[in-house]
Amino acid sequence: MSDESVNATDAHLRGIIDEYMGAFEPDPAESVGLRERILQIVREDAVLAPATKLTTERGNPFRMATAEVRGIIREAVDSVPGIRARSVNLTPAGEPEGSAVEVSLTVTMSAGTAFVSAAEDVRRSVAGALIAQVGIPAMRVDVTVEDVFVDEEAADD
Amino acid sequence: MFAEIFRRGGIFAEEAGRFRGTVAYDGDMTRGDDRFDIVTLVVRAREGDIASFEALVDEYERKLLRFAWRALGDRQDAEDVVQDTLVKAWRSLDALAEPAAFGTWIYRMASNRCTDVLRRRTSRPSEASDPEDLGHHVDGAASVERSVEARTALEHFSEILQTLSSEQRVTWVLHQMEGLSYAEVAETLGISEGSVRGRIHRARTAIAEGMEGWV
Repeated sequence: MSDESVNATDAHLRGIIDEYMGAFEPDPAESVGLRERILQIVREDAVLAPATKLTTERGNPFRMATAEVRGIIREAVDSVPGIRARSVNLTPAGEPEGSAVEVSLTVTMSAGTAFVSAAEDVRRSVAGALIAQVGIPAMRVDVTVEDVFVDEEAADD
Repeated sequence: MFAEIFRRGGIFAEEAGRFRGTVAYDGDMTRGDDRFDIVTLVVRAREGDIASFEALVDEYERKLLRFAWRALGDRQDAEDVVQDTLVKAWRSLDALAEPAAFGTWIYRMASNRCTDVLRRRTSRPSEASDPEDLGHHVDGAASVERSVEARTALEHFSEILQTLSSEQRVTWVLHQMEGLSYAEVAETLGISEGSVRGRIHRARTAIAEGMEGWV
């Protein structure tokens, strides 16, 4: 069969192809079960996730899921206008080790955000959240801007 | 809100409209709050943030299901492929060197799984998709009045698709039905653009020959 006749048949087939595609268009309501099965497995895996060793003020050691501590820090970062957390790395620090943490962050920043003052806000917010929710001070919070984004709503104002 | 990142990964996952952009996040924020781009979600999910992975599932699950369903012609097999793909993605996010490539990466995994399923069917023909399955879906749509001729042509078309090789079928579906360019299909499948062109040409020829007299 020549290329020309293949192309001609292709064009004639378009209606059937479109119909086939329409027949295999998932209904969102029907895939709820699939979504839940996937997320159930993910949640079960998360239970086995690594923990970070920390120490109370009195020197009593305890462990906390690293993902949980990262979540607290991400939330604190996201609360600063124009800043979104990406990667969060924690290193137990202080004496005894684990009585404080060092935090290293990568973030994305809204175009037009003044970084120096925003970085200070991030440090304050992270340090405050760690004390309030984990009871551990942040000895150091390093912030690296990895990307810049345009906040459409702010741009429209 | 979060419109567009300035610096994008150099691959189509972040460049083509169908994969680009920000997605809903269902952590402490309201669903539909599109504050986070794909790269941010992937980085956060890689560090164990389930809410970010959930947002990625919401973004890709239906697209993958549609692709797998079209490639396999069977809903249950397609769901299995999507579940395996996204669970494997969650478990091996660390292996993804470039977070911007997430879309391409999971389509490649899904494509490979579809190819495996089709190959298994070839070795066990009785497990091929049932044309009645297609008839059910078509009839289920608001097309009860469709002519017998049209239904028959659609069923015949579905049967012709099953005669394609696994690789041809997956490649053809990605290009013809999912709308990926030759270059995007090549990137997704990890093969050369020339191979993609060859597969699609052979698939089109086989379909055209198989449908001769029907269109």
